[in-house]
Amino acid sequence: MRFSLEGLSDALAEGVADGLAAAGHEPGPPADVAVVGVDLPVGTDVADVTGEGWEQTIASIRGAFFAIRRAAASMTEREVGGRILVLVPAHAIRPSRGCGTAAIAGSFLTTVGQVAAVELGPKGIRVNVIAVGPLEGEAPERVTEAVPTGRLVQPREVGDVCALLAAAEADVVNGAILAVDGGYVVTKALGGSPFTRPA
Amino acid sequence: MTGAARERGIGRGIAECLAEEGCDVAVNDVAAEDEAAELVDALRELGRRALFVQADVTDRKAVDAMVDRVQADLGPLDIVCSNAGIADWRPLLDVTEESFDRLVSVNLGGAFNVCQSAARAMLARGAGGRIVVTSSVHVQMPFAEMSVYGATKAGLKGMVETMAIELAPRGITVNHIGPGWVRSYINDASPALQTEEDVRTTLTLIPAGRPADPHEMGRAAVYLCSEDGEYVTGEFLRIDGGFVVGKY
Repeated sequence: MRFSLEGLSDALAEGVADGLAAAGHEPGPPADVAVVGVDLPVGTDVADVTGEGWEQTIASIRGAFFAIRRAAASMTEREVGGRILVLVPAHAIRPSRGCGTAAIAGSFLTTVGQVAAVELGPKGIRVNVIAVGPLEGEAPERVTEAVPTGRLVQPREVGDVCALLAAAEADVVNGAILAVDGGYVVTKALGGSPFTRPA
Repeated sequence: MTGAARERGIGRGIAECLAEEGCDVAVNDVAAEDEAAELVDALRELGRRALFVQADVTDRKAVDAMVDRVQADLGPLDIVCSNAGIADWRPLLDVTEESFDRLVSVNLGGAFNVCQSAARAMLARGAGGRIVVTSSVHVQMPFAEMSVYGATKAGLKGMVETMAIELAPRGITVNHIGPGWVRSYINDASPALQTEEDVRTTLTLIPAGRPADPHEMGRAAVYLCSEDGEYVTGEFLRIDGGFVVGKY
């Protein structure tokens, strides 16, 4: 199948492309597998988000929403079914101090993905949400302590899970929120315990 | 209290309940001056100070000016209820840019403007505060044909939770309430409530067997703003007659 990538960070886009290519998919258009996400900075409190930062957030979710809509329209018109994968920051499930607007944007797009799954299911289109945990090369190294697997997530691993959800065997998976995060969202406290003090 | 002027609105229900508990209330809305004037009169009859501040929550400068004016006229801001919102029903494939932009700017951008501006005022004063956001049952149970509306409400959940974590050390709580079907004007356009038969069908989905009155949202807001609610933050309080139980 052919795929498209929209709104992802460069590193995540490369990892997803590699994972899908390894499973035999190739870049579109048109896309039978549309991977859509947002790339937002973290490190500020909501009270400190600037006007520009907020505009960037809205522009990102707007871009992602209409990318999903375009992909759905194209798949509907071609009557081919298809897969839409919405990649959101894991902050959508577990917000944390300083995550900026990542939880806002991630929660927004999670709901878009779930409603899309309900509305597009009868057309053979499957829509799922992947909550992407702290990425190697993007998240601070000390976040490793908050991941039960003891390491950060590699972008290619997200791509491999995209390939799993794109497979014919995953046709029944629709409207799911799948955390690809080494267990990060189970508890975001460093050391894996809510009573562990951050370093 | 934003989005508070309209008769049969959740905002009015919250404003009246807070006034009954002793709050002086600034009534905000983008329009509906006549209805706002009635509400202000009603609140004054309760012995409270009240004023109408007309402002569009999507306009950040207007929101900041509103916060300044409320503090100048009524005193320091202890409680902010971000309630202004709109709804639209259409399938995902039919969502226009105009509809998307309107919903996002009012429901999400407006709430961001109000909550951030209020939080900054509360932080500057250093005496804590309470922020209550009207979200929706959509936060837990998204509905077909309401992708953008539901997404804006989910976005509010992300905002409330993030702000709750960052503001708790400063004594500011941030929570959201989740109305189900309320007898409010916003639902007049709901495709699920156009005929008597529609209403009967919708009622079968609600274990309590009736829609809510806006004042039931107000009583929930009162709890979150009371001394009893001091330790409650980042929470979602659903007031829906059991509507979404077992459905999400």
